[in-house]
Amino acid sequence: VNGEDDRNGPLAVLTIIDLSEGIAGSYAASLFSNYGSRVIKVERPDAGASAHRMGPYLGDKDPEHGVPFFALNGGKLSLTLDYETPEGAELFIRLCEEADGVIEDTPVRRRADLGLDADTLIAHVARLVITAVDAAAFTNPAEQHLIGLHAFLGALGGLWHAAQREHGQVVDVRGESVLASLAASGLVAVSSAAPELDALRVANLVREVEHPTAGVLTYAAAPIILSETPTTYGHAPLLGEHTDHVLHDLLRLEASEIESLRAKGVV
Amino acid sequence: MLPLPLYLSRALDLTTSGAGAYATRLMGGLGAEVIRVDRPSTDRLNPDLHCDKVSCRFELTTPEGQDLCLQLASQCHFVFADAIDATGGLDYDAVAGRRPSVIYVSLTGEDSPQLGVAAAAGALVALFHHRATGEGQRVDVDSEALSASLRGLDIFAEAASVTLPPWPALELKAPEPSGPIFEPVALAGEDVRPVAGLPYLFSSTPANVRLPPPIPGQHNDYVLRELLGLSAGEIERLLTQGVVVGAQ
Repeated sequence: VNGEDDRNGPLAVLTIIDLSEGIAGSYAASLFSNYGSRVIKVERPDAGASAHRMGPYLGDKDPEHGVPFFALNGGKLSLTLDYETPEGAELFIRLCEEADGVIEDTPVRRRADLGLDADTLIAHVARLVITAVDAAAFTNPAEQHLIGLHAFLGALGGLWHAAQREHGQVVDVRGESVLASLAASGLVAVSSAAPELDALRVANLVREVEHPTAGVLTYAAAPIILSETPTTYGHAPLLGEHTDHVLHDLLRLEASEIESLRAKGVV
Repeated sequence: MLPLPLYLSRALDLTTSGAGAYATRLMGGLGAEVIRVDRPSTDRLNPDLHCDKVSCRFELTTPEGQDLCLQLASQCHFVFADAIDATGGLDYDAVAGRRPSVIYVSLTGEDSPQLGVAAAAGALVALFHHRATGEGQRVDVDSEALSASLRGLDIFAEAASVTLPPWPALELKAPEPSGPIFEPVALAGEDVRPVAGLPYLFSSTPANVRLPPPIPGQHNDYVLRELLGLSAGEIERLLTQGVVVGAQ
């Protein structure tokens, strides 16, 4: 199941919950996946509203195969969970107990009245690092990716701190601040045209991944090459593809409990 | 307030590019002690790229300057380099021969701020591996691979023969120095001016600018005496022979 059996990258010790629906947060979380982390994309069961089903679509026009989602979520696990309900919130807290970090963007859907505000979550799971990416105001995908790259570094900083001291926190990554920092460097952030696919193949900068229903998918290689540790690539999940796996193997729920949650629409 | 994430780690900055300077500036912002080895020709450092660093100034074209640099590298957790020739052959193998656990970050290709972000991120990724195994490694960050990753959405679509709307050109506008990340810092011999801090807010660790940008060579004494254990006489000789160049 998307690398679950052999996580051996440099970040294999980390489990990241990815709540983001935009490009910046999804990109940051996908980098964790490239370096071996278990990344669980938590999506709302009412899929119509989800970024998962945004077009354009791969060949067969199946709304399960939205290109932006597929491109930005390679290697992740998908769990559908309505954490805006009391029962879903309870499950979300259990999920956080098994995780090291949360990456989210705006609007934040965690409900304080259900105990999911950052302070309460971190009081409960002391090492939890919540990386909050605020990039909603930026419409250019190039800006979104730069914010996502910086969010990856900010999240790593917070997670390293937590690994040393068992002390989680919120890492606030505001798009405006990231772009100000990049610009203040005085360097030009070159926005080149999209690279030529053939040239990238020659340079070994793309990876092909077999998807169970969508055929062969082509992902850009991970941007940082480490001499002693591998990078990993997986396909983007279908909506809720790993709900049973996460609930059963990670949260140790019984089949009957999962069935009951499913009947109530929580998962 | 708790110490910063990279508290008690040390990074050697051998870079000459803007990306390298930005990478180590971010490392300093995250709490690492950053030691820059400046060249004799460098007399001023850009405040927005060099806060939270200290500087020593060596003549790296001399064997003795290179040896000092290697001794210093072997006392650092991280080394950042972007032009191996300009570092007097101080490549990964040379440093790892002295300190096998070193994380050696090499930047290549076109200069850009995002290359610096990727380099700092690579250092932290390798740090997690180091924590688990005690091993160091070389981290390669190249502008071509980074561009591909940042355009991954387009690459995916093109390979799937799907057309996405073209992206607008990216322009970074010079930020208002009154903006959110700027902090007033007292510069040597100048007034206080706003300089760019770290672009993140950590809820339980401070992220203020800790050190103003150094004058090149300002911390020769700290580096040579405290880190390398040289005597006052030896330091004097190195200065006289031009292997070490003092601050102006």
